Amino acid sequence: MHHLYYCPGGGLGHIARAHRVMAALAPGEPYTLVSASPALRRADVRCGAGAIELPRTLERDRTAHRAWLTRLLVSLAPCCLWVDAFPAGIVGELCDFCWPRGVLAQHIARRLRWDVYCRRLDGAIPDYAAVHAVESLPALQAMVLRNCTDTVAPLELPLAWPRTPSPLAVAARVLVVHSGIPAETAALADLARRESPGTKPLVVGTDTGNPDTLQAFPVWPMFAQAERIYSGAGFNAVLEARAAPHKHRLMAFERALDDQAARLADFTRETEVRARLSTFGQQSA
Amino acid sequence: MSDPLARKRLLIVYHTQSGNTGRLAEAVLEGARDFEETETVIKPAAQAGLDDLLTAHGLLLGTPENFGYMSGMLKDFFDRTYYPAEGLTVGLPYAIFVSCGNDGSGAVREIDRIALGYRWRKVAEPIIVRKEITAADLDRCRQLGATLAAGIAFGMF
Ligand SMILES: Cc1cc2nc3c(=O)[nH]c(=O)nc-3n(C[C@H](O)[C@H](O)[C@H](O)COP(=O)(O)O)c2cc1C
Repeated sequence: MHHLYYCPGGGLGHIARAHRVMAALAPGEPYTLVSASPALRRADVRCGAGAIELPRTLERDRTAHRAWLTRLLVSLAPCCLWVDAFPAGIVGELCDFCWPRGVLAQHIARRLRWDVYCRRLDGAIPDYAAVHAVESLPALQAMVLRNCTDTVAPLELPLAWPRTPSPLAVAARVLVVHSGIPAETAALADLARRESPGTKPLVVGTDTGNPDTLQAFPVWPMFAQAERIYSGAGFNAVLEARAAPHKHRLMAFERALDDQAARLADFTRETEVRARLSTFGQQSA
Repeated sequence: MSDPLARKRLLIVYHTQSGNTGRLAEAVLEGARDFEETETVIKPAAQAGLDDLLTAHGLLLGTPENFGYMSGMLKDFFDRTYYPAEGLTVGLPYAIFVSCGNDGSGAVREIDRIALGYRWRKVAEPIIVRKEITAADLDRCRQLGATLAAGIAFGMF
């Protein structure tokens, strides 16, 4: 029972989601991650999973990309292929793709800027045995996905997932958690300093060029001790913030295919509505 | 997590005493449910509460006209939710349907005044059905439901 989780996106977020999905849907079963992220070379990031780095050379060559993937699927013969975030691949490499015999393909759907994404497609989205929606999807995206599967079901992901023990004993009152470009991390750190004067925030991220940045993965085990956590509004950050909304401060950053502003707006509203309902109750007659 | 498939929610709140507005509400619901990208919820005004209002992305309000005004039950829905919902429903798209004997304008005017207080946005002309309900009236109601359902799903308002 070996699973293959295809997350061609470059960021750590795809990998964190992969671990969460596997913890929810295939607990205890072995899996291999396919990703373009160099972070996959780190044992803490792999959390015990196998790893296959997607060759950069495939980025611009869909035909080669398809052939590479077909070979991979045939040789590994996974019991299930999980396609993360991009139903037709990150650059459309899965358009009109025929799954090799015996491959059960399932899609993990997160919010996409569909208007931008669909311009990358030059064929049909492949059929999926099931689509699992891990967050609210825009209407158009949900509609398209209903056409490539018989089953679209919501999937609530856990905050925690089993991981290889990492002896990280650093505790900080104020955390800045971000794996984006340095300018974004700096914006979060500025906000943290403004809101907690006199406190030096601990920055956790992937910026290897900065000696003040702690490289740790996953970061959520540090949240229990922190009072304030600053991060972007990517999928995982918002999922983590839901567990303790009062601690988290999120900032939406521009991403080609991810609408962080919409996700943050939904989260903010959800938090406000929950607070209002707990004050006033349901208020029906 | 709210609805993970992000079906936006259309709320129909109505009151009926002798069944006429109820028939209009059913037609509105039928039209809205034809459009399955939106989840449509229908509640008699007495049973509709703050949670219904705060989780709605669009609102259809139905009432008979009584004494030149909306029904007491619809007014009661506003009375119960106005302050608790304050600031959280700004810009909510809404529309009205009314069943009445011969006028209907008073009910529409007063609902609009209250909606102004909530700072909702009127996105369709009201439907006022005077006296007998015809098949054409029910058709207009179906269309109103479908318009709101499609409009909120695709962010057209
Ligand atoms: C107490 C009462 C007051 C009414 N006042 C008005 C009115 O001011 N203007 C009007 O056009 N119709 C008026 N009507 C007629 C109703 O609006 C009409 O019968 C309507 O279809 C009732 O809707 P329902 O069956 O949903 O209760 C009144 C009816 C009642 C019972």
